[in-house]
Amino acid sequence: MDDAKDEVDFSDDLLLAQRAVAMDARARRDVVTRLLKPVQRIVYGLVRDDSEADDWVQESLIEVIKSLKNYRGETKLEYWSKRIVVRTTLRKVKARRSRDSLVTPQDELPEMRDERPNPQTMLRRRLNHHLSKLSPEQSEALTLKLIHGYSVEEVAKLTDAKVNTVRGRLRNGRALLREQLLADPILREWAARNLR
Amino acid sequence: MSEHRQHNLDSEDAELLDLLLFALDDEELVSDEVGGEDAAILRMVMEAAQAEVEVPQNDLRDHRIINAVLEETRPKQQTQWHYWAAAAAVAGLVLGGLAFWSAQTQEPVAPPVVAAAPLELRPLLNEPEDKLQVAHAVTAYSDTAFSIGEDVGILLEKDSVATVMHADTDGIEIRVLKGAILANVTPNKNVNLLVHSGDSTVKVTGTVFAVRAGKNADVKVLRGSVKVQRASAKTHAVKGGESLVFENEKVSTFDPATEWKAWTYHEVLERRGEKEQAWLDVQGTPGATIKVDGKVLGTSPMRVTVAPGKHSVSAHKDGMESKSQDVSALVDRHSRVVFALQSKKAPTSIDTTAKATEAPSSRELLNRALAFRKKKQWSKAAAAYNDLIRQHPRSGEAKTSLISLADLELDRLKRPSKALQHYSRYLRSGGGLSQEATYGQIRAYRRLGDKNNEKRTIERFLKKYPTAVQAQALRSRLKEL
Repeated sequence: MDDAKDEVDFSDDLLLAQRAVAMDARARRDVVTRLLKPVQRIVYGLVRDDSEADDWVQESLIEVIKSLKNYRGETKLEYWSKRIVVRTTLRKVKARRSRDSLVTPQDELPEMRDERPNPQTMLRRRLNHHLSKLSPEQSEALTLKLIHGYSVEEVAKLTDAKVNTVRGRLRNGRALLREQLLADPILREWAARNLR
Repeated sequence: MSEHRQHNLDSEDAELLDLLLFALDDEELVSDEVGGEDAAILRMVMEAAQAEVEVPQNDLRDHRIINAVLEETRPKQQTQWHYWAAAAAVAGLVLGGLAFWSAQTQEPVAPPVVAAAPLELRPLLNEPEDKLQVAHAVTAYSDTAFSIGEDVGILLEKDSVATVMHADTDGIEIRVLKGAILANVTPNKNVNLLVHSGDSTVKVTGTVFAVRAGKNADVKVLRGSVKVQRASAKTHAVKGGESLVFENEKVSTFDPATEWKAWTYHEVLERRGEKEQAWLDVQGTPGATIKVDGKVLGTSPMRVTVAPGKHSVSAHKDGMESKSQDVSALVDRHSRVVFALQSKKAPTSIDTTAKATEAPSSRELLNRALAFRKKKQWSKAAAAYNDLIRQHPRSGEAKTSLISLADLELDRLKRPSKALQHYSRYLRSGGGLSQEATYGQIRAYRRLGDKNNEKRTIERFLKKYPTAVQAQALRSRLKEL
């Protein structure tokens, strides 16, 4: 493909990162501003409408800036930072897992109870609801694998678990999730109305 | 994955079913065992889950996050020194392509107990200051010239990028990221200057030399000599008229005079010793001895070149009453000082007050400050605010200017202790901007590394303004403290 062009693009990213590392205030601001939205999407996707999502966004961005010195310009800055963001968010979530799980039950969030949610919102909400009933490890593995598209090996790395353990979590979690989804009366009703 | 599509409950069944046909390639959840409606439900759920997450628009939240991240990752003075020491310590290691960055990962060695004073960075070309960010670190772009302290002048070739990583009385470090710079260092002043390019470092104490980054990175020494440290730990001494290509470590000769002239704006480096100036035109009783700041400078009428700022001017003449006055000399302006001395025997009730004419009004000074701000000439803006506060201390403009000046000192000029003085002065008499002033104090203490006062002030702030925008961030900061 157009390797030369790709290289040039990333070298711009690299230069920006180097300037940011070299304590150039403007470059740091540029990096943070540029990564804010992508990072928000990843974090919101992981923790959904968690009230602390913004805190995780902030923590993740700080981690990314601190890790910039390791950026080698081999991939796009956004892509490179994704792993750091996922890791940071998972770590933070784990830290308070004693009282919560990765996915907050959506039904309990009043601001999300709009009168006529679009199907996507409703479906995602049902999925989150059922994910939250699984063990935190299972829902975490499923979220990363099914929603974020990480490979089993990558999920293992991100969650500090063995590959086989992750496989087990995925297998069991998937079976449970499927069972729950298919037994969900809300989904059944929706399907009856909309899918013929 | 099928393309993301928006739809709502009113959509046609056909559209939804159509969506199903493009359903996810995720066969893991939707296995062969499930079919029909079950498969459809599972596919739709996964489709919804994999669609791009929508982040609600909230500028205030985004602004807060960006600032918090920048604040948290702001280089600290101490850290910079650590880095300096660490860089020196690892200079002899094999560093590889990105030697500089890996240097930062080294454990910092114990910092020596030295209070290094930061050096001021000033643009030497008469152009917008935003080409040059005066901060802990400065990035300068094409065709820029600036001075660092008294003894170092830097000129950037067109389309070049260089970053001053560190500049205080202990030493100066510059990295050339792109293009080339020309450095002019006053000899015999023990200026400790390091210029990095790629994996090479040029060390110098007094000389003129050019360093280039990129493919043919090299150093050309126009005057004096430099020491070049390669990543391989090899060092080279390069003399005036010699150049060294880092890559192949090949030394060749060139004509320094031609090289010097090849640099656009090279003459500004010769002028860099000149400071910002102001003039006092002393008039009035002729033949009076004029002293400025206690030094006899001549007899009136006369023009005195002074540094901008406050000066004490006095006039003495035999048989006359001596007069003295404090005058604020404004940058690039002629301030007129008139002394009408009276005979010693004459009654003193007659108006003999010496006055500096052309004293601008508070509004004029404020406008001046705002104009400088707009042009991002931060030091000049600060000077104008200072003049306003000094000359019209009771005006409304002076009061709010304290906050503007404090913010300027803190965020632009990186002088947190000065900022602190201004915030505190504002708070002593109170006003509508007390919240901003208190928050400013917190930021200033943080910048100064004064955790005790930072903590105390945060507590005070939260007690007084529990619902402020900054409250959440401050609460988490308090936990850290």
